[in-house]
Amino acid sequence: MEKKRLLKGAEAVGEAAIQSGCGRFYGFPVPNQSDLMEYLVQQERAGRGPVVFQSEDPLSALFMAYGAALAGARVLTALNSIDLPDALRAASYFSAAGLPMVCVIFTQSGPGSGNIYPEQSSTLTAVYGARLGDGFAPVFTPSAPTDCAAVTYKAFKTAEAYQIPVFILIDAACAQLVETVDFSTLNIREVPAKRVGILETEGDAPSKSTTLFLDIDEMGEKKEALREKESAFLEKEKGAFKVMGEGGDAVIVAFGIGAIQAKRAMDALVPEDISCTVFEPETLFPFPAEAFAEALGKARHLFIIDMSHGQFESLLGPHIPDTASRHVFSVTGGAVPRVELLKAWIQGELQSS
Amino acid sequence: MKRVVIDQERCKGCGLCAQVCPRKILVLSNMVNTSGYHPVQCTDEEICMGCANCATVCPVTAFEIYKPVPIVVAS
Amino acid sequence: MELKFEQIAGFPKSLSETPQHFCPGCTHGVNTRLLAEAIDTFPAGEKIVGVCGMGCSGLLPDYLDVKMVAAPPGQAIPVAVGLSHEIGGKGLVFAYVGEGDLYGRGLSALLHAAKRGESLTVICANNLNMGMSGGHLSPTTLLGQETATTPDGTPATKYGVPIDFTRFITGIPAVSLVARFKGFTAGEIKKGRGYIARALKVQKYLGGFSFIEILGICPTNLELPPAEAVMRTKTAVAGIYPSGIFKTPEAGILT
Ligand code: SF4
Ligand code: SF4
Ligand code: SF4
Repeated sequence: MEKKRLLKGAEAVGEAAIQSGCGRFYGFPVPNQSDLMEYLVQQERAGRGPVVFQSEDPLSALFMAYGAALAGARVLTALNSIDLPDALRAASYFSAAGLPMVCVIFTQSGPGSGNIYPEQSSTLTAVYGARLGDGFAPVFTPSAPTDCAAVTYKAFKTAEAYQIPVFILIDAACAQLVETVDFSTLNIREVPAKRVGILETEGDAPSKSTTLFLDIDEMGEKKEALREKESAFLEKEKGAFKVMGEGGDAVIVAFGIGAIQAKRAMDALVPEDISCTVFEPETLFPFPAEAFAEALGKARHLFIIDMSHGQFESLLGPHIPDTASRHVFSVTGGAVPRVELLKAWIQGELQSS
Repeated sequence: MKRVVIDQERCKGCGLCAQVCPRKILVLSNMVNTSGYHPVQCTDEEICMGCANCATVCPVTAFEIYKPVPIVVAS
Repeated sequence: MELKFEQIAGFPKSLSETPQHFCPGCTHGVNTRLLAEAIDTFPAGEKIVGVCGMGCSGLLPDYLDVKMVAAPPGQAIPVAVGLSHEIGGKGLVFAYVGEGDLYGRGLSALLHAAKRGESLTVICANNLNMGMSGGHLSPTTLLGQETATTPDGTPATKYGVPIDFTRFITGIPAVSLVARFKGFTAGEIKKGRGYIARALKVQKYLGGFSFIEILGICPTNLELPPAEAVMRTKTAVAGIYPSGIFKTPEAGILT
């Protein structure tokens, strides 16, 4: 296999999943998700990667993955944000059963059927929705294809380490973005498995898997165990992020395609003598709060690129000090924030303040 | 040798076995088991025909049925 | 003449001693024993995993001494399919699901798994109502039957006439074995117990999809003593949900 590959974001996820040792993929054809599934099918034909299965619907895909995971498989699923509620329902069960899964959610414009163009209006649903019944799932948000690959590997490691479901949120623009991904720099290895399938369990190992506990005390114990698991997770995992530039005029915070455009706007502002820092959270849960606070220390002006009606801003809210002067650029409906508009906006805001 | 062994602790007194017994030898007793049910009892094992109808319909698997068979001695 | 005593009925090895929560007279208890008996027809080393759906069947994992998984409502078949894919020929997978779950929100997954001829044994416990939720209308509720949501009797005008899902599945080409029996009459249980073992053997040796529907009584929601619930249900299903073997791998569809 070539180390350098020209790949779309969606395909980079697939390649990284193969290299991470993914055994089974379950999916249903929907925009962006199909690119991932088709890539995996091509690789399967070439004799590598997970067994790919197209299910009758997205919910079935998630629960087929649940069954396969119970039997010991390392599973990947993917869907489109309009089916995100299915993923939340599944995540609640994976959380309860303590099973690892990586689930990619390609985000598009909504509400309703919306359109297939990029938007980040599923952010809060993903971050808070996985808390259904107090379950939890880390939420990764890569941008360019190389990041998609790197994050996919991290997602598999996290899922395995904590035996939990993990979401990767990729907006439709990043899914389609093409880039040469150099896998030799990414060091992706097969993630060692921490458990055996239900048929292989012996002795005291559980031979039953249920998430139904009619006894209040027993349910309480399960909840307590989950709470401890989450505490241990949050104790160790402080959130992933990238910081680009070290300018002191403005800090731009964005993720996904927003972060890519922010970086370009930052570069375009250099000739105007405006120096910026771009802060890109690569996980929204856990949110890299300490790193964000540190980045914010660089400048008084915070520019938020929000590809939704305030969802990203409200997620950032608790982490923004009162002293910061906050500017929000909102772009929705499937549009990508254009560099010249971002540049003019930042320039204008800085001048008028 | 007992022919009809009933686990009266498991029995929930549903009476389905009594309904299907061709010999009508199964009746709900006046006893109360730990779960609060009147368990079934066998009134005359000697006439049990070993049809196992009772064991077949019993939802709690309370029965063990033993059927006498002649020992054939090879001569 | 000398006599010896031969045991002709008893407690199957794979049935757990755990007391079951089922109401007195409930067919789920019979079905659980039949499953255990079918499992016992395999050698001890055979790898078998069962999946149960949501509802009164949801506590089955506690009652069978085999590997068991309790699935979310509507998802027993996808979970069983995933297990079956990963386990492959190394073990057997069965699903035991109530009709409210299997023919309701689980229907699409059931039909697709059947269409693909997944290596699976599916057992549907059909007691004509949603038992655990409190006796509500189910996909197989009969015309005129009183349920918690149709207290004056289920009307055709509002809910249509019942259809025979088992017959429907029989017509799916990739399906190997289909049968139905009443889990509340001695004669049919004696015949039916063999169907389950046979279905598991079809899975083991042919990798096929088998489907067995077991008609049951839910005395609690019928608000009848079990013996009367048997009579009532027997009469009610006559001519609508007939018993028998409808399809075998050897003979195909039987009329
Ligand atoms: S085996 Fe038959 S005759 Fe004997 S007690 Fe049971 S039902 Fe009655
Ligand atoms: S059928 Fe079983 S539970 Fe019901 S009365 Fe007879 S022994 Fe008891
Ligand atoms: S409610 Fe009905 S189906 Fe459920 S255990 Fe009781 S009798 Fe059985």
